Amino acid sequence: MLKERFIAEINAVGGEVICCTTNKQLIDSLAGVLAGLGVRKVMYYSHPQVKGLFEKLREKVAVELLTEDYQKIEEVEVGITGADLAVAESGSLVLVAEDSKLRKMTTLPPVHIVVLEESQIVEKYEDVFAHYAGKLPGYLNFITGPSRTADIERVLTIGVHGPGRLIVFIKEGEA
Amino acid sequence: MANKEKIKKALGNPTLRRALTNFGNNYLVSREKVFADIDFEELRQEIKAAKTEVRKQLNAYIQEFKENAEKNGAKVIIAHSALEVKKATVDILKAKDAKVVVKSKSMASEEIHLNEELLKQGFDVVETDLGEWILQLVGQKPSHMVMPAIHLTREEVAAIFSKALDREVTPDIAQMVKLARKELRDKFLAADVGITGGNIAVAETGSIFLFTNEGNARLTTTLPRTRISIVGVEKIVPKLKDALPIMRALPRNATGQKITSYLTIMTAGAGQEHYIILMDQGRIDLKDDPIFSELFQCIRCAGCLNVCPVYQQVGGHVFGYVYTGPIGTLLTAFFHGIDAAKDPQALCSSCLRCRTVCPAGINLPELLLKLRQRVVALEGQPFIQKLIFERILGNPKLFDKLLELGRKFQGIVAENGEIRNLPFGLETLTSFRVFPALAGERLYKKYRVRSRKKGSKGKVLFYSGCLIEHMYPNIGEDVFLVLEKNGYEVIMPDGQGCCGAPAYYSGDLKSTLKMAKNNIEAFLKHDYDFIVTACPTCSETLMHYDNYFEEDKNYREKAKEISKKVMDFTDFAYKFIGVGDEKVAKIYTLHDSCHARRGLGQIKEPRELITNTGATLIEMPNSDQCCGFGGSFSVKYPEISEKVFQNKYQSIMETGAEKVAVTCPGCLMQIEGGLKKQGAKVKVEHLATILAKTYK
Repeated sequence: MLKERFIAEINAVGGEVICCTTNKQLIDSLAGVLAGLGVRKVMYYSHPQVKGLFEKLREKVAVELLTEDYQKIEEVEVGITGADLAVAESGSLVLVAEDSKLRKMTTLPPVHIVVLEESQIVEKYEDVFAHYAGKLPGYLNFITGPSRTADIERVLTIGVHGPGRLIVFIKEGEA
Repeated sequence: MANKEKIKKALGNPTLRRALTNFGNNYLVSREKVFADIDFEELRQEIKAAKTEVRKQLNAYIQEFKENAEKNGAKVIIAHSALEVKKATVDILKAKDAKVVVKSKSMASEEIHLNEELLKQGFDVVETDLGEWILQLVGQKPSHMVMPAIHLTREEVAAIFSKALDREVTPDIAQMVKLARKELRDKFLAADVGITGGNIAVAETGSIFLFTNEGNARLTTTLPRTRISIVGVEKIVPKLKDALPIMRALPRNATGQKITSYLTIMTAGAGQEHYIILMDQGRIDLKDDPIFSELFQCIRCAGCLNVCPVYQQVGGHVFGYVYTGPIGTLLTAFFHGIDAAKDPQALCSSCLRCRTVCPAGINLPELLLKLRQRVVALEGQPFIQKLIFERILGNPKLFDKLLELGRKFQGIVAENGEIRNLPFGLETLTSFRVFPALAGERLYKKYRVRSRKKGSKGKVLFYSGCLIEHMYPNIGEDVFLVLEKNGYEVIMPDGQGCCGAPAYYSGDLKSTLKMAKNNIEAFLKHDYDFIVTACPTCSETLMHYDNYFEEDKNYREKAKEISKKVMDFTDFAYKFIGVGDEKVAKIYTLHDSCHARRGLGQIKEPRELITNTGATLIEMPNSDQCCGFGGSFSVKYPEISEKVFQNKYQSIMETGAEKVAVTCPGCLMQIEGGLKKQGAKVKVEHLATILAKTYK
């Protein structure tokens, strides 16, 4: 139920969701999406959900897979990260981003891809705060859909400062 | 520029009105949708409770916030005046040897004109919110708290970009957004310091919450090595849990979103130096104000602007200062002085709509009236207005005599019971509506000669009010008929006068009290079970008489006696009145009068009464939006009243109904007059008239 609610909410604000059941499926779809985007420079963060994917991913798709230490971040086209939690009530991804490299990677490139385990989805904001048990991380982000503006004539336009696309891979089942 | 000229300019901008009206209409729909899974009343109570708690012990919470934020590595500065905030900011920028400064949207910094100061000091300061950047390029102030550039068209934005970048920019929104991304990205990468505001500050954790859709606050707090957050002290909440209702209410109420694309919660520097400037700037005084302290609860969502029918027509720049709309007028009075709020406060038509959406439970229309009373006490009222309230409406005998004279001489301007054009500078009053002439005979005279029936169910004192008494006595007669058919005896006291609403809503409490006393004395001469009026504004005013006599114990007690017997005709009919045998086989649409719907809470009552007569009811869009009358408002600002009416006209015509039902003679005058001027065949009828048809 939480997963369905999360997907409905994030879809409603323009976030894209792909569900997978196995690691193999996940790697195949990720490779497919990257190939489809036609990008060359892809950067990933060493979150546990993504770290293990890259050896196999390299074999499947001809892109440069760069680590978080890559310096020329302005050239990067896709940032791939995990998330700490996701909230069903608002369709938000919750990301602890005390590392400014992670913040840059999720804000500067035109595409942000997130890999999420279904078990990371919680129901509401209260659950997020409870998760950190009163001790909030130094920099906590809720990301809910792509960057958007309606500042000119109230016309919704995507991708003003942050990513224009937000693609979430959900690995289904209990972790 | 004088206020009237600003209004004229704003009303002459159809794009602005279209943008604001479209947004306003869409906002209502999306707001309703995003609140569907949430109890708004509960949120409102939670926000109010948290903010009240802070208000009571502000100093303690400021200290708690400071301690906790500094424990996490931030440096917290408490600045009391605009000057102190600016100095603290400049000192940091100088110490960091900053050249390029990026800013994400902050009303607090707008309030103190921070950019001007930073530019003067030689810093290259750039607004990064798209709307704010556009305004910075053209040197304008925001016209809306959340959507600062809503008054500009794409063509105007293209012209601004072309001039600023010295190259041709086409008015294509997607392309212009792309261009802004590129131009501002370079600034972000070059920036030494980032400045933000703050939407919530949590004392318990020392955290600051920032909501943005564009992602510029994330970049502002990530790319430069130093960041400064300028946060009004009213943004503090005690506990982390107190942030929850604001997290839910703010985006929902601001733009009809469940949450903005990005919410950033900063509890430590996380790779950057973090300075937090807690800004007082009048807020600490405000929290102790005996009347206006509620304003401290505001979370700056701008919901009150979004639903304001006057704001929708004139936009934000007419308000003259940084904060606009209902809340803006009130904040302006405190942050920039009462003189600055003198003109904007007059723009409120008391439609009460803002009160219904305020997530902090601020009684905005009431506070605007209190502000108006302060302005009137300081400045006095215009001569004619003072004369009318103090000498004429305050003296019912004279008022009635003058109207007798009016009846004799109105032939000069009236024809077939209508006034289509008024001379001598009064043209604007009839530019978009036809005024009814005074009725040949006032209601009281008709009452005196009609045969009276004793009733078995009780005795009703009918308070007619000015419009029914002198313009629409037929409505009064319909009320008599309906009440008598249902077994009630109706009496009308001699000497009843104006209820006082026009004076009250003009900020003249003194004249209001005079009129109230007169009516109270007139009522007390009689025995009755109920006081019924067929004008919701009169009903509300009579019901509130006891509140007006705060300092007069004697009259307060008398007022209480009569106030508790007052019942609006619609409520009375819903509770006690049946329908006759005749069916009303017509198609109606209902206009919800502001004071009926929001003042008295009537929603189902008029609807069920209408359909009980056999009539068909078709709902019009935004049935509860003001018709533009607003009593004396439409006399002071006929040009705005006209534009507000145009929306009502569209809504009525969309239904295809044959008749418009109203429960207020003021709305009847406005809508009937407007429809006639447009040449529309649609008729307007008071609910009492519709009910009376079932007995005729």
